[in-house]
Amino acid sequence: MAGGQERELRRRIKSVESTKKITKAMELIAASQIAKAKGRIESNKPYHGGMRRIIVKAAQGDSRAAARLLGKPEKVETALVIVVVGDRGLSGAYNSSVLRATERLIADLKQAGTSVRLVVVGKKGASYFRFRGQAVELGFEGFSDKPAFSDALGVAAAAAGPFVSGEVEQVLMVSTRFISSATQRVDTVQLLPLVDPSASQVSDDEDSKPEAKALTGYTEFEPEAGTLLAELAPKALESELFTALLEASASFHTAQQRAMAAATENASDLAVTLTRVMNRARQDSITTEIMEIVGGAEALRQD
Amino acid sequence: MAMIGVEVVTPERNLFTGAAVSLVTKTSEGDLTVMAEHAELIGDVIPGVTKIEFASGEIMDVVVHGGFLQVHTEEGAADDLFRDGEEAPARSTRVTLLAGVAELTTDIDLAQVDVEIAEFEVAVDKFAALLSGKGPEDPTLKESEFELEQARTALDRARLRKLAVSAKSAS
Repeated sequence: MAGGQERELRRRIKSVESTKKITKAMELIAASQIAKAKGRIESNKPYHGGMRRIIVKAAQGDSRAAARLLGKPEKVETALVIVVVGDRGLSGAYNSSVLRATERLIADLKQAGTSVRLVVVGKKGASYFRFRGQAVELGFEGFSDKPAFSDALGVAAAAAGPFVSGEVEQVLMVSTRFISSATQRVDTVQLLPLVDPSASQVSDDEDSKPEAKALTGYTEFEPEAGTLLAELAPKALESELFTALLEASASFHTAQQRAMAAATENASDLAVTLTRVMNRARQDSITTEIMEIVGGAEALRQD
Repeated sequence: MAMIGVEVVTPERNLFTGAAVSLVTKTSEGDLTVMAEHAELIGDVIPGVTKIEFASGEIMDVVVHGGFLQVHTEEGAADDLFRDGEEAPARSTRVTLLAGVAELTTDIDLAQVDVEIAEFEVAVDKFAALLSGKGPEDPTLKESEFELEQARTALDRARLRKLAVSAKSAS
């Protein structure tokens, strides 16, 4: 039945075309979300930068308190790992690359004799770890598209609580950093103890060095630097987390746009290929029919 | 009168930037007024109202739900905070107020705040009751504690907003 094959192909082409419409729409939506997410990253910059500046100054004011709060802990019995992924899929390797990096991190930590507690941001992460039997202590979802500062406060509280009470010695975070529209990278950073921002600033921002050196004047602290630093630490954590959430959401939308653009292109290619196959099938059936008629006519004439 | 550059920054937006005469706020050590040529300072800001006074004598109230303050005096430190037509002194004082949550009293809708207070009071009671019903072994204990804490914070904030607006309209 040649005609049946043709009908089948026609149906497939139609379904590919409608899939293409959907992926195209998702691509456009993601593209518009990228712009908004980038805007939010920009609005957060003055706060994030100011917070880092203050921490650096306060750390200079009381280096002994700073040593307690900043840097790498000597022995880590238990580490809390925060994983930041998306609520939705259809975004290429975005979720899976973060989850894979997390798996690796957990394996490394366990090998070093550290027990791990997991806090997951994003629906995709929660279901992933639940499926693998890895206990998730707290799961957050519903804001990975457009995180608000209050969302970051919630996650920060979940991380700071166990750290302050001494249940965990280290808080790590695996998330996707938005370096530029073209580059996003999965990164693991230590959130607590706070990493001295002045140390990292030197490497990724050479311009800030002379300014930091110029600040040798006397600075008043209210309250004294040590107390202030202890107050600042959780706020800095909130700010770091919020920044990470914003960058993760921008990365998610970028990944989704890219994945959907590729899917749209694939759908176009597939539709072209299927159309060719369908045309050939139709031509074949026509040829066969003609051959049958001609063959029949020939047979009659010979009689 | 010598002016200072003031910026009130939250993670979600720049609440205010501009030139002012003074800024009055409260740190955990007590009241603090910043005017031009104030010494270098880093301090905390406890939840309350921060007042910014302008050259015109107008006072802007900012409700700050906790934050930090940096005062920095240097040549050209606050240049970008002065608008056109406002003479920036060569050596200027820049006041940066960082707050997780802050708003202008003029942006607060009192009727809305009353509704919020009522809502959060109910939420706090509900979560507290829920929590007291759970044993120490309950796997959702942490989440409930967390929800209660969130509701309490929200209630405190709403109450502070109401207080600030009432105080402003009374004065």
